[in-house]
Amino acid sequence: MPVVVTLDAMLHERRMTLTELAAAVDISLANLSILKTGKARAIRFSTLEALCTALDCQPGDILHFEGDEA
Amino acid sequence: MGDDRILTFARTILRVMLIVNLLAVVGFVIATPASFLFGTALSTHLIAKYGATLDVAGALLALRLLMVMAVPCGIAIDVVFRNLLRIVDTVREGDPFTAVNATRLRAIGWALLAIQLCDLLLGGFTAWFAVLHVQFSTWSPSFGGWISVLMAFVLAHVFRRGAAMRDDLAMTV
Repeated sequence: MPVVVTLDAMLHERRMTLTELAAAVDISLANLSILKTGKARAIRFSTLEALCTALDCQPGDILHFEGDEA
Repeated sequence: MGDDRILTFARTILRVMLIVNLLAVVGFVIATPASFLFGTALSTHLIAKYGATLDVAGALLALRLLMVMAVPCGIAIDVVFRNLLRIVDTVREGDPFTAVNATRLRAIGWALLAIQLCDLLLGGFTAWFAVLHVQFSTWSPSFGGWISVLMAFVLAHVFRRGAAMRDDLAMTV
């Protein structure tokens, strides 16, 4: 998929674990894991908003469009 | 819960009808060759009932062909009941919107179409028996049946789309 989730890198940058993020955004660890591993087919605006708030970042910091480079 | 009771009731009815239909199919499978074995007795009975003017050979042929036609009709009905029973089971299990159920509904649609074609043939038999002056049930085209064929195919598409949408939603975070 040309859109790549870079949640892992952002978590590393913020020195935060996935479990801590799950607790902060009130999303199950399983669902966050689906997102982190790039298995998700779609992301809700509410999820994106919660993630950006918890990680203090912009949507572009956790989602990258790779296009033909992928 | 009310819904559970309705599903249990539907399941019971379907199982009973499935068995009754199977028995009927077996009955027709046995009756067809038996009509040759007991051909003389059958002819005597028909003449006793309708008189010597009856075209016995024609009446026997019509009866035998009717019994032969009943077998594929019974198989089509069996396909409807079996698939419906499986769909009811998935509703009870709480996961009915699956691609498998869409395929089952499409199979039901084809089986209903086969039943409708059998019904048309039954109309032909009714006319034949009328010509032979043999008592037979009345027949009129089943518009509801044709609508049910369409509904089954449309519902199959709805289920397929629903299953795809649900799969998408399952991977939406």
